[in-house]
Amino acid sequence: MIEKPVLIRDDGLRHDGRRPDELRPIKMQVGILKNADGSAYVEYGKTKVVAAVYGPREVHPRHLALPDRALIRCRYHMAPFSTSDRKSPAPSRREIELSKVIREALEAVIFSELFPRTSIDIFIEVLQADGGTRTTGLTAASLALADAGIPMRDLIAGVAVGKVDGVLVLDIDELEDEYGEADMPIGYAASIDEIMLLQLNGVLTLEEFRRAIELAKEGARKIYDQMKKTLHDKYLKIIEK
Amino acid sequence: MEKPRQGMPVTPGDYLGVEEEYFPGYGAYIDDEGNIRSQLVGRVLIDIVKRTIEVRQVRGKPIIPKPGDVVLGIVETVSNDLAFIRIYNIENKPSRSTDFTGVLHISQVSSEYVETMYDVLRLGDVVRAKVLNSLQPFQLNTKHPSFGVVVAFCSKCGETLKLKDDRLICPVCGNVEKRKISSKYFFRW
Repeated sequence: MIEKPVLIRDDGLRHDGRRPDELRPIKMQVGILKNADGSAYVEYGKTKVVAAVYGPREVHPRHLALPDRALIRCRYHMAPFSTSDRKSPAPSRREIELSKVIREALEAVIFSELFPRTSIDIFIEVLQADGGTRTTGLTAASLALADAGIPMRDLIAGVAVGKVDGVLVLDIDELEDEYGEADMPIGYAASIDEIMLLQLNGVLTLEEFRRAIELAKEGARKIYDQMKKTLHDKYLKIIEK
Repeated sequence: MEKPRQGMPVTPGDYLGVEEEYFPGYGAYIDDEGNIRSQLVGRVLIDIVKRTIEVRQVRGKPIIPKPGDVVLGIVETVSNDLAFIRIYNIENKPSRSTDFTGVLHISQVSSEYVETMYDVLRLGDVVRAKVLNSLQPFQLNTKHPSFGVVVAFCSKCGETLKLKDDRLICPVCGNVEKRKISSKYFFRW
């Protein structure tokens, strides 16, 4: 058994030197893939994710098509080289679940009724995992959908809140996830003020839960602003001139 | 909240006004609280006379054939009275991955009487056609003189057929074939 590392230092900062309410450095890019209709690359610290969107396109196999709206399919997948031990490339139980929760979050914002009998396929590939892959994946998928020109109610920013050594911290990484007491990933659509994804692993009191939601919303708003800026820089800067 | 200006760049979810101000047009929607918001990455287009607000998309919009579109496709299956055509391109649209199935019925092939589908097109031919409906599978029509087969292949040797005096002739084996030839046939003698 490895000894538990110091997660909150004596000066109140976290093991990597961040304040409890501080995000990791975030990088975003859109339109990085030629063959996909929309794509995005997002980094939350050491977590690196690529998302690609295809569609609306014809559904194969045909019988899955829905007569009144688009079928939204989502595949969250971790590359074999994304973790310290090689991960089997076959979809694990965890990946199937994450595909489902991310799909349900995105289904709530996509205007799928505009494209009946078609499918919108979302692929999320984790290149390097260091905690918060589902939230990074959700942010990337949302950017890729916007890049593909698919009508959406809002962009979704994903961020996780955790409790480590009794302190609520924003955007937890793998170490804090492993040794912390709670992990709560959230998908937040900032403009319409709706939570699209919420999971909770661990124990929080009601008061802690309320504070955690507020902390997550605040972090997600920062990420949301950066998402808007990324789309802006890629497509809208030229128009404004 | 920022008041929308003409030509203002927006991303999905951006506030464009309240329900009472404008009718939401393409790329705009009304949320649960009665605010008009953007669906797309684009710029605002306000029509003060009609009182509409739209979002003009900066990136090519998702391409789905709509009624009246002229499309190009490859014949995938032919039966006596029906042909399935894989639509790969919509004319005058910037090309993105377009991959839809179209159905051409024998009654929609030509204004003249057609005995069987094998007299007007064959497997592998490239067809120019008009889309009739908005639901999949798309119904096609090739009655106009500029619609029909634009590239055909010899059924004996596979060579591209060439058009000479309204007849399709194989330059290798001399085989003469029947098609519903488009006035825009690519290869001429």
